[in-house]
Amino acid sequence: MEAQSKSVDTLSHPEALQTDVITLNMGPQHPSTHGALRLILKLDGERVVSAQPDIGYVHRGYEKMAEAMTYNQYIYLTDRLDYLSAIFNEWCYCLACEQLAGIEVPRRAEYLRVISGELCRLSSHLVWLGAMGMDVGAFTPLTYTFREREMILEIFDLLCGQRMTFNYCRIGGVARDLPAGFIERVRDFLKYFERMPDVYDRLLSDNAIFLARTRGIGTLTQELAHSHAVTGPNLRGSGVSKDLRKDDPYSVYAEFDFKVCTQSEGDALARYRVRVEEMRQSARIIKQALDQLPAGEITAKVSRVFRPPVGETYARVESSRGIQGFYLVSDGSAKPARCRIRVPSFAGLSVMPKLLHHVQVADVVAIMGSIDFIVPEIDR
Amino acid sequence: MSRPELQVEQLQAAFPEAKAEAGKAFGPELLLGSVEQLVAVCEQLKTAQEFGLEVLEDYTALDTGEQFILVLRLTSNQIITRKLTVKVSISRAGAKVPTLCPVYGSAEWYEREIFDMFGIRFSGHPDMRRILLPDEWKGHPLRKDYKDERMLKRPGA
Repeated sequence: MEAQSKSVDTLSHPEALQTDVITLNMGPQHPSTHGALRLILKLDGERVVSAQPDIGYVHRGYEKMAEAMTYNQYIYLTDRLDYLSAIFNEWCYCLACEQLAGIEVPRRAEYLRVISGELCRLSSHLVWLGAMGMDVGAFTPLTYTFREREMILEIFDLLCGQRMTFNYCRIGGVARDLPAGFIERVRDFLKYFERMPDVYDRLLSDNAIFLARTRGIGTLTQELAHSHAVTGPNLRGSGVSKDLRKDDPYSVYAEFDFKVCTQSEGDALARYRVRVEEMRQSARIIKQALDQLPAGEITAKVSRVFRPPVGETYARVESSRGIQGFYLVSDGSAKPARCRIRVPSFAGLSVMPKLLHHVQVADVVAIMGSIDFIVPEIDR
Repeated sequence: MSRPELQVEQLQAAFPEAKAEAGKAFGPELLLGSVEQLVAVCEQLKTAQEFGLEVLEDYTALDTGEQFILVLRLTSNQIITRKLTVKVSISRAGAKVPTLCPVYGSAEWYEREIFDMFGIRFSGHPDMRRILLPDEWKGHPLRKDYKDERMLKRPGA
């Protein structure tokens, strides 16, 4: 005790410095964790020795809840998994139900799902882009991206009366047809949005500070990505061209002309570039879908009480964060016997301890931002 | 280059002690006779040139009432349409399951989740703790016999 109270000249006596490894609790309430996630960092000075994510703060028992609800009752809940791109959750869940019962979805409904899904991908990437910029100290992009996102949310408001938790997909189709003026509204938006990725490019892609904060930071090697089952833009940022929309086409994706965006570096900058390019491609898909939109029914004939035959299925879609999967087991009753949700962010976060190993503490925020996970989906 | 889709005969020939079937959900299904084979089979599926399934996309369990079934979804990042489901039944009474962590990095968290939700322990796992529920939680919610006094009964259920 006495030694501490005396002032010691640490320059001539460096051994008097307390240089132990310290533990830093980041979260569960922290602006850069994008939700209630706790990260236990062990720091040696500015360097991270170990990083252990602690999850479960917003666990709501989704898989258990499914066993007590009918198939139809569960649809609206799936919106609250990845709330930034809610359509994909509903879509994947309905796809699993349709596979279980062998339901053919009308083509118009498939198109409406694609249009709303790609709009969702746009709005999700816009949120990510703004947040990512802010994580590394650039506030301005957020004000741009949220402006565009607001336009998309208003389009969704028009489509289904909701801005984020849409409850739009139904088993066998979608809840309602396009409202009057919807197509023009989306076309106007696309026309406006066309040049926006270039604007974002000018704000961030050539910004020296942004490049310094992201280039060569948090490099995800292919081996690590394979081993941890990383999917989506994070995997494509590591040079693996895997996109279910292209490689294992579901719905009507085979009918659209679009590119799968990849970058080979695997760092935070590569993941950024993949997502910005994906926005351009999503806009292309929406445009084509509007042009080719067929007329017809928006839902298949499905009985009000949905009782799929005994069996099981595993449906997958490419959500904005990667591969989303629903594993449903039916015992022939009106409630699923087991509902397992495979979420992309779970794998994306499980790779964190390895990505954050021996990085500077300031880069933790940049790496977490570039991985783009979402906590309610991880915790379920 | 081998064919993108795995063939049932090819799987049956490589794993005579298991049973290969044409699955409906996710590629062919490989049903293992005992859980002891799990690690060796996965190792071979991952490293052998003819399979190349280096991604454990999902790993979960199922409670049928009489037994647990472990369900693994394997895919490839090279031959992307290639997929395989591996299933193995284990007894509900404290079966020892060997960990897959040395083979697949994603197994670490998946196995923790299976332990959390079903109470299945994985031997050799580096960090066998609950992952989503608090450490002091009692019971494993996705078991069919799970009871919790705070659970609400739905009217008519």
